[in-house]
Amino acid sequence: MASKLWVDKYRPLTVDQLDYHSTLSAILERLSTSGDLPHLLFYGPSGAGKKTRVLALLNGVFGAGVNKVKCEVRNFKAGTVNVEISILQSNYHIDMTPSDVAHRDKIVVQQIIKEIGSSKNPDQRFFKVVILNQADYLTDEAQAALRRTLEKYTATTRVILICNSLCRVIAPLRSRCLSIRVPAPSADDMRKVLRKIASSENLELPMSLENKLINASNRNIRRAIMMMQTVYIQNSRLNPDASVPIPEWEKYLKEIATNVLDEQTPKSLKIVRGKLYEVLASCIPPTTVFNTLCKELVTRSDAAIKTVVVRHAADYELQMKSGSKPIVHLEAFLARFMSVYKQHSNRMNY
Amino acid sequence: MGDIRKYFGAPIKDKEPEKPKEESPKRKRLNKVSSKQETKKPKIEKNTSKFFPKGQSPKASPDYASSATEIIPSDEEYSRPKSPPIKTKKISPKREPKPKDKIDYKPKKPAPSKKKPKSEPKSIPSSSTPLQGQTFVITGVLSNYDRNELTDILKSFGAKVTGNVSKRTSCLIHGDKLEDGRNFTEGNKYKTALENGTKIMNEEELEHMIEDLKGNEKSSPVDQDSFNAVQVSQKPARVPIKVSQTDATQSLSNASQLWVDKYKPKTIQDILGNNKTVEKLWEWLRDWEEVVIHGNKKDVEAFSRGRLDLTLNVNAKAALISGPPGVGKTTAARVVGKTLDYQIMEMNASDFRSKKLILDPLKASSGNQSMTGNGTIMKNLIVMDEVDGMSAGDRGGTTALIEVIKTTKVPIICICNDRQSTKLKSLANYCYDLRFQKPNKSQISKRLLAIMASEGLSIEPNALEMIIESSGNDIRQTLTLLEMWARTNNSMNYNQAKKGLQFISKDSITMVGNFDAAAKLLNNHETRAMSHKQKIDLFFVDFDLIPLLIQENYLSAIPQNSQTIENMANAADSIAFGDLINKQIRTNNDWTLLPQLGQASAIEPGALTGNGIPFPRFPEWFGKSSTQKKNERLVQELRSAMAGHITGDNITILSEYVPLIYKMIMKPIIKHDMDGVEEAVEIIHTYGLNPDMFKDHLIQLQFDSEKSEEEFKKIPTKTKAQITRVYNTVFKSSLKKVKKKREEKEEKDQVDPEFAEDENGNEEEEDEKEEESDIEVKPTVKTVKKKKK
Repeated sequence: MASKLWVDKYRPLTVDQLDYHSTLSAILERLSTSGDLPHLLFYGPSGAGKKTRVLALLNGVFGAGVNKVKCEVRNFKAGTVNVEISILQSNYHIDMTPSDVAHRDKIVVQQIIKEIGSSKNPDQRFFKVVILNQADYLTDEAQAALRRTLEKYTATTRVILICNSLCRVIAPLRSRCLSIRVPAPSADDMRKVLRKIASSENLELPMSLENKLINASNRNIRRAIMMMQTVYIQNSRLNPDASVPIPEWEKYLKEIATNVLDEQTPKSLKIVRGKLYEVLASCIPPTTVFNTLCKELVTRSDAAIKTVVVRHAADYELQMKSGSKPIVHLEAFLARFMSVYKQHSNRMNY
Repeated sequence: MGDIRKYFGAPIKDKEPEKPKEESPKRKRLNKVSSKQETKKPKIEKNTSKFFPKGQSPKASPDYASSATEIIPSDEEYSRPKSPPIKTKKISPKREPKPKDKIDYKPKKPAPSKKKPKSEPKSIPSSSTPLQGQTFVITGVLSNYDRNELTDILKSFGAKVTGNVSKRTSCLIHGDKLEDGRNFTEGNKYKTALENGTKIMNEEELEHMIEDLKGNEKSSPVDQDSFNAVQVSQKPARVPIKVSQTDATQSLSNASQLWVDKYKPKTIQDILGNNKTVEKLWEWLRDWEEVVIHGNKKDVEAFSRGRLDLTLNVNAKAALISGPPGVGKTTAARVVGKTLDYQIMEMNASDFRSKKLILDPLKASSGNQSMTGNGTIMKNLIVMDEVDGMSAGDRGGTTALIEVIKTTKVPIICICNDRQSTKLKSLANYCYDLRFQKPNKSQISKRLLAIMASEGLSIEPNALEMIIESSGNDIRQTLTLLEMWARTNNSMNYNQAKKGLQFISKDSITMVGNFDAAAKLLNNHETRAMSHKQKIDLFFVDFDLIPLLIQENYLSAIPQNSQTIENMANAADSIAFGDLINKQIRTNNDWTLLPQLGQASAIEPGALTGNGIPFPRFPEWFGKSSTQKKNERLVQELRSAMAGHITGDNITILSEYVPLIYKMIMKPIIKHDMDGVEEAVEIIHTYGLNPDMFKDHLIQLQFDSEKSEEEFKKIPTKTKAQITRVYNTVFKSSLKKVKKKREEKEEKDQVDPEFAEDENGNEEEEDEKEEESDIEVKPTVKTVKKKKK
């Protein structure tokens, strides 16, 4: 049995192996053969294939050597504090996630690019590539710092930014990069990929399960493949009747929504708070919690209050972003929801 | 007047409620003493023998005893104080006032004789404090009175108000309903009161009683005057506490000396409270020479559980006295030094105490003896006051002090407030640790009553106790307050005290703990009477913790009514808004916003809820946020370990990779036990993990980590060990391979076969090749990691 997860095992390594978005693949193909690269900004939802495309592109530019990477932990001095970040390095590129170091990302960004920019690449290629993951989580300062660095070290460095949402990348940075959108695959695209994998594994993928996977994964190809494998692990075959595994925390959030809808009292809110703490403690991003809860509550509450609930959710989420303790905003949202919901149901009863 | 009696009918007879609960034994004794002078004298003897003279007692080792007996008689001052021990202070053994007048500082208290309370009733109403000695308990919600209000009223009549019904309770006042809406008859207090046969009073009766009492008060101005007259006439009869003071009346006119100094303890017995500790200090200083100079160390087991217990470290060269302000630390050090014939050298925070300045004079004096005018040689005692105040300016001061202590030839006493201060950590190791506690309310009030009497200020015990309480049992402060009061008045009752305290009390906020402050803010009964300033002060008790405490507890304090949910939502809103303010404060250092933070995160939610809580729970937030931080770190570590093999951000890893990889690893192990190990290790290895990371990271990061931990525990230990073993063989072989590879500088593709064997034989050829590049990477990753470690 293969020791790799299917997602990684069947990951396309070169541009021509890419399964969908053929127009995009064509652009990448042209880029890789041109021998030079502009700064790039890949954006698109999670599980659309951004990173895979970036690596495939680099593979096209530099050859298979980009896949030989080593992991390294680097230290940077920022005044008196030491910043530690782990980076992935090949002869041709550096792959890192500066947002790991939170508000000190600026230093990392500056230092790394300067360092690379001032050293010559041993290969005949004259530039090295820096991949910055989760670019939308970079602080404004770090993004501002990138502006200048991008221009200054063009001779030796190319930067590839990868992010989910363009809106959090500052405009000056966007204008310096070639933005490439990687949309989520369509249902048909996903079907194709899932079938391909199933047949490579000599498994039969029943239609019903396939549909379930596509629906449940929310057009996230990685999630779909992983779900498929989970089903396989649990049942030793791709059982058409198997329920599609949804993440544990999502189940838990649904439970919270049920609690809120069942009972609108301080006691109930207290219990819910305990559960929210659990979710947050396991590192589920508060925004995700907000989205999931809101969706769940809206779908399960009366049409008359749906808009109000969504508006409140948006308000509180915005508020949360400018605060420091997500829990209080989540709690405030749920308290407000309880209030709205209760008032409405009281009115309905009369 | 006699009406009052009716409220305390039958039950009182057997209850003998005159004495307030806590201190009743002592007071009783006092009362008895005052009425029967004879009983007192034996008591004094007992006290003194207990105090003085452990040195003389046969128990002490003969060596010390002899030296002690030499010292003590030589000290005139010390031998004198044998006379009045604290408890009996107000009645001098030398000048005996008429016993009957004695009681008068609680002048109209019902007669203390237990057996015939009925015979006394008429004296009760004649007093300004007709309920003196009665203990009241309030239960349920009263319609016309707020609980605090009523407490004040009762106290102003001299009664004591306690929280629980006991045998000593004279009367239970109940409202119709309990706080939680049940009938008052269901309450525990009521039941207990019935059992005990305590007098039970409803609100109507209560009002009658209060009216009666008020009527009495007005009707008895004459009593009041005569009472004052008695007070004054008595004054000269009192013997001042200060033994050297000859005449109290004379001293009254002598305004040049503050009471605090005038009544400063002159002898060990005079020191209020901490008797044991003072005694310890005295013993330590007495034996100091013997122990330190002659090396006859005391045989004391100072080690408990392998660590030096500093409180038993009697052989130390220095003593460290710690305790809150105003409990008499400095005084104790001085008095003890004086009684043992030491010349005291004092250094306190007002002296500059850098290393040099400490070393020079101390080193010099620590080896010296001083000579007095008449040629006797005095021993030196160094008192380092306020050692916890040695700070930035006194650089190196503490180390210098330690150095001095190590080599000193004279005893050193260090004094500090905050024993837990980090500055004292090193110093404390060289000291005999003596901790002073605050003396309790009744101890202080007894002494102060005596002082007041000798100063001619008549004061109600209830009033005095309130003042003491408000100063946090600080004797010095209380005395100062009273002195100030005495400049303009010659008597004080409960109401005056209460009123006066608002202007002169020690900042009461400093005495409120975080939890109490939060509890108060969440209790409308408490906050209703408070000004906004007072409420915000409660927030300022701890502006970090209070908002969190409120956030944790406000949901428990919401009253049940139609507004409940709306209030809850508004309170939550306010707290959320407080979080925004907090962020502003922290990011921009905009501390001027603090009051707004208090308003939003503490006062507002408190006002919206306000039903009160028994005791605030500690905020869950701390634990949860640290778990979150830990998990974030784990995810990051996991991601950097797997970085070469996967794509996706932290959330993807957490919610997709982690559960799936975990399942993939666990499945073969659960299914095949030992036989599945190789497969599991292969997966671990493929993703650049190691068995430890599997155990820590993957299992911890499962959403339901308890379940996964349990699952992991079920795996037989042997199998777990096998995982590590198999992993190590694979890992080591690949490590070797990599080294070899580097040495030979071969083409990377050639080095595979051996590795492929380790991994798996059954693999399809194509897959194998596809994976080659990845597999090679792994050892490299490992080497780097290994080196780091």
